[in-house]
Amino acid sequence: MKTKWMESAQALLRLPEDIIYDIPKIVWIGRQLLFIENHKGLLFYSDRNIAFSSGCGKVLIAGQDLLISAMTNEQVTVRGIVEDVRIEYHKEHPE
Amino acid sequence: MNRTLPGYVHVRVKGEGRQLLIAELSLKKVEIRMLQETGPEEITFLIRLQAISSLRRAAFKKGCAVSLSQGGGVYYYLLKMQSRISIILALCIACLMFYGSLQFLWGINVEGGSPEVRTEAEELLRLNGYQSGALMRQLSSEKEVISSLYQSIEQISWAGFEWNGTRLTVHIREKKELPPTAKDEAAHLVASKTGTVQRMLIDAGTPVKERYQVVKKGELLVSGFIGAEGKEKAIHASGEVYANTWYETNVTIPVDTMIYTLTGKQYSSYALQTGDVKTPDIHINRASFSIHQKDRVVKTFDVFGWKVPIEVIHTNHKEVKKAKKKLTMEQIKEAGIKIGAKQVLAQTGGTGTITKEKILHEQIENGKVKLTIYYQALEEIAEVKPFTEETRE
Repeated sequence: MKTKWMESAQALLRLPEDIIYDIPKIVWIGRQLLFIENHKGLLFYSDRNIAFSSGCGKVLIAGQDLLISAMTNEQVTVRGIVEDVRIEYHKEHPE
Repeated sequence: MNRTLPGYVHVRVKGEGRQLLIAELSLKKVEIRMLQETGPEEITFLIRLQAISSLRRAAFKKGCAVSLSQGGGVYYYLLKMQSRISIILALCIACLMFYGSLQFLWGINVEGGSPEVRTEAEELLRLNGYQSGALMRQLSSEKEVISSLYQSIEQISWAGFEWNGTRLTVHIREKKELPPTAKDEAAHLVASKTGTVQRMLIDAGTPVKERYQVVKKGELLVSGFIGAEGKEKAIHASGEVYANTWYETNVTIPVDTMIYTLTGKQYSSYALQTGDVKTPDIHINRASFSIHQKDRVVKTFDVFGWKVPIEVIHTNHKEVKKAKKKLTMEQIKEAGIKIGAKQVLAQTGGTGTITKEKILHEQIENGKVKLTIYYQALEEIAEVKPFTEETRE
C-alpha cells in the first residue's frame, strides 16, 4: 500500500528514485574514487574488501589499498584502486 | 580548554575486534575520516574530538587495543598557543603601545620667517597646547591656531600646517616691508626735452608753465607744492604735458636698388614624415632655377579624431628673378622721409606723433643720396623728479 502510494507520488512529482526508495546511490569515478550515498553503516573494513549495509542489501567493494577518506552517516568516500562493486540483495527484496 | 572547539584525534586500533568497533561507530553515526589498514590487525582513522566518548563506549569489551595520538585542528592549535601565551601577550601589548604612541604629537618644528617670529610662533603654539607629548585628540583645530597666529603676530602673512605622521611642521611666511613706492614720494614734473608746450593735462600739482611757452630740458613744468602760500603741502605731482619738439636726421639711400620678383614658374615636391624620419622629396615637373623660393606646407590627417602619425610635406618651389631698379628722386625722398620718421618716433618713446617734416639738404655721392630732414613731433615731455635739496626750495 505504502509502496504504491510512493510510486504514484514519484511519478507525479518526477522525483529521483533514490530519494523515494531506501536504496543506495553509488558513484564510481575512474578506478580511484567511489561515493556511496544513503548507506546504513560500515560492516567490514580491510584494505582489500569493504562492506556496507544499505536499504536493499550489502554493498561489497573489492580492490587494493582501499581507504575510507570520509564517512558520515549519509555519505562515504572510498579511495584506492577499486576493482569491483557488488550488491548482495536481501532475500525479501523484489529484485 | 573548551572541548567544543573544532579538532580531530588520530586513533589506532589493534586486535580482532576492530571490525566490530568501526561497525558500531558507523551505527552510532560517528564521522570517520582517513580509515586505513596500517598493518596486520591494525587500523587507523581520525575522529572528531567530540566523538571520543562514543569511541570509548564502543571500544568497551571488544577485545581490541585503542590508542589515541594527538591530532590537529583549532583545539590543538590553541593548546599549543597556551604555552606561548606570554609571547602573544607581549606582542599584543607592543602593538597596543605602538598604536597608542601614534595618538601623540612627538615633535613640532616651525620653519620660515625670522628667528624672533619663529620663537613667538612657537610660544603661541605651546599656549594652544601644541607641544611634544600632547594627545592629538585634545589639540585645538588647525584653523583656530592659524587664525590666532595671524591675529597675534602681525609680521606673519601666511602660516600652514604640515603633518608628517606624528611630527608637525608649521611653515611661516613673513610680510616683506615694501620700499615706499615712487608714487607716494613727493615730486615735481620737469621737462625731459626742449620744446614748446602745446597741451597740459595735470592730475595733481600746480602748473608753472603755460601753453605755447618754450621750455628747456630740466625746467620745472608742474610743481609738487599745493595750497595757499605759507600753508603749502608737498605732493606727488602727476599729469601729462605735450610739447612740440624738433629733430634733425640724416638718411642715406642708394639710387640703384636690387629687387627680387617671381617669374611665375614653379613646381611642387612631396615628402612623407613620421617623427624624425623623412622620406626624400619626390619632385613633379622638376625645373632648375638659379634662385628659388621654397614654401613648405605640412599636412596632417585625422581619422575619427585620432591623429595619423604620418605627415605629408608639400613644398612649392618658385623661380625668383633678380633685377636692378633705378629710383627717381621723388621716390628716394619719399622713402627717406619714412625712414627718418621711424628713427624720430623711436626717440619719442612711443608717445609722439610727427606733425611736420622738411628736407633741409640733399646730396648725391657715389650713387647714394644723402638727405638731411627736419621733423617736428608732438610728444609727452613731463618727467617725474623727486624733491631734492635744490628743488625743494
